[in-house]
Amino acid sequence: MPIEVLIQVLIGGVLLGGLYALVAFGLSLIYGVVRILNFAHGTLLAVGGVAASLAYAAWQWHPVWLILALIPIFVVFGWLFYRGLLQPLEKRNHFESTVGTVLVTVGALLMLSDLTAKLAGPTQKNIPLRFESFEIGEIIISMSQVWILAGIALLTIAMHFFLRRTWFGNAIRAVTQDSVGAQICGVHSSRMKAATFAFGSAIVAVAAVLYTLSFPVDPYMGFGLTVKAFTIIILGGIGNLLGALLAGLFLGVAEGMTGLFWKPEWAPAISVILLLLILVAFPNGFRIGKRQ
Amino acid sequence: MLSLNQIAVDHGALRALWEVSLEVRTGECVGLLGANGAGKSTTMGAIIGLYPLAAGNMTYAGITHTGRSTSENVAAGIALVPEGRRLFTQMSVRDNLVMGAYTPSARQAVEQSLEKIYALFPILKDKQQQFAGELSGGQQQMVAIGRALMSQPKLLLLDEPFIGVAPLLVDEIIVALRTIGQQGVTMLLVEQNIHRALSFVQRAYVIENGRTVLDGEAAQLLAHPEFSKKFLGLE
Repeated sequence: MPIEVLIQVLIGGVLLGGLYALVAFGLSLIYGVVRILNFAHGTLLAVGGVAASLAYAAWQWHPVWLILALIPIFVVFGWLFYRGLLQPLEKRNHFESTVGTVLVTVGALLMLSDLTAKLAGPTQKNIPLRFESFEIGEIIISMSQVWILAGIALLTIAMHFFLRRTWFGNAIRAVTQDSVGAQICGVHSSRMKAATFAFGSAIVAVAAVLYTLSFPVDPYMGFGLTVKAFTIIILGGIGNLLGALLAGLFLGVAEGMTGLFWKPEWAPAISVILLLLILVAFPNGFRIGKRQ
Repeated sequence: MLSLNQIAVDHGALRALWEVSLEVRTGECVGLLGANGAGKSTTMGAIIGLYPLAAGNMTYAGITHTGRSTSENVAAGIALVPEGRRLFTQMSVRDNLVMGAYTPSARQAVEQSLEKIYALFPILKDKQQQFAGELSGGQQQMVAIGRALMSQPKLLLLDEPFIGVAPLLVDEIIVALRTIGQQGVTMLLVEQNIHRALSFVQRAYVIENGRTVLDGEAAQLLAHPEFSKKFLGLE
């Protein structure tokens, strides 16, 4: 096999893995603060991607404008989703609220997928924006790949500083580590949970546009993304950005290599296989990077 | 400053507090004593707003209410050093302290408050970049007290602040608490060690099975026959 093909697949894997990591960031923040497994999280990316693709087809907006338009919509959606459907469940006893949140988030996943398919059609969509490409030897790199990588890196760095330098970011970390400890510092717990849902959804809005720029999206792809994001959180540690990024890149590259050396149809399954192998081989876990 | 008027608190279907009444006057240092499971920590939690009141009411700073949110209470000047410390173990000592100043009014004075706490517990300044979870029990307790002070409280609730603290550091913390008291902070202290508690507080309440059963000056309590029987094992 020529080395150029390998490098090409590697680049694609890094790109995909970085996007997985962005999805995992939001999921991890939400789980850390709200202690809810949001099964609808990946589906938000699918819906956002389809919406971005339709908006691009209609108005040819620049991807940056697509992101800026999608963020407020997702913020409002995330906030309402928690306040309207999940917060009322907290008044129930532990069993009912646990089962209830699974039902609500899985229900939302199904409804969002079907609704999107009904409104926009079930076919795959993308943002057919043509970028220039350049060549290094035999390797062809599209500028879109460069921009997406830059976007992923920028967002990760921004999130890192956000979680350390702002009151809201520090409160997210504090609630994740000890919610009662945060409460007695004066952190308003239900307001914090709604805000984190909104914030996690906003990250998905960015990821959705970046994703749709180089990979096709369809209304039913969300659950697969959610599973990968859960895998990343387990590998990288809850609330650990660097760990999630490394785990995401590892997963993306592993998928690419599976397609290359084995069969492309096995690529989506590799995350689950890897997760099982790692859980068996390292039952006590291992840490990537510094835990925050 | 604070009075609890026959408050009751439920933990799920179980009643944890039945009828607790007490009063803390401005500038005082008051003890809250009782056996394990008597309801001391629940009382502290109810004062700061972690648990809603099932009955009764409380008056703080002249306002009577039947339970407010924790963030309202912290903003109004109540701070809790909780049982088990509840630090953010994977955050630096400094970030832990800064979180204590989360309420809008305290945010403006973060740097001054930090300096005050570093003056009170100089070791925390040396360790400010370390994870709170890496500190010894006594040092973690200092962080917990410091974090509570960061909100610039008028009333400080201390729930067993000497558990897991090495004897040498206990003395250091007591000295610090005396300084805090002299600076005008009112205190309510839950403490297992009766002698230590009564040497520190001016008055104390005793609760038993979720009810206040006894109260008085520290010296009075020590002389009280029933108190001696219950807590000191003396006949």
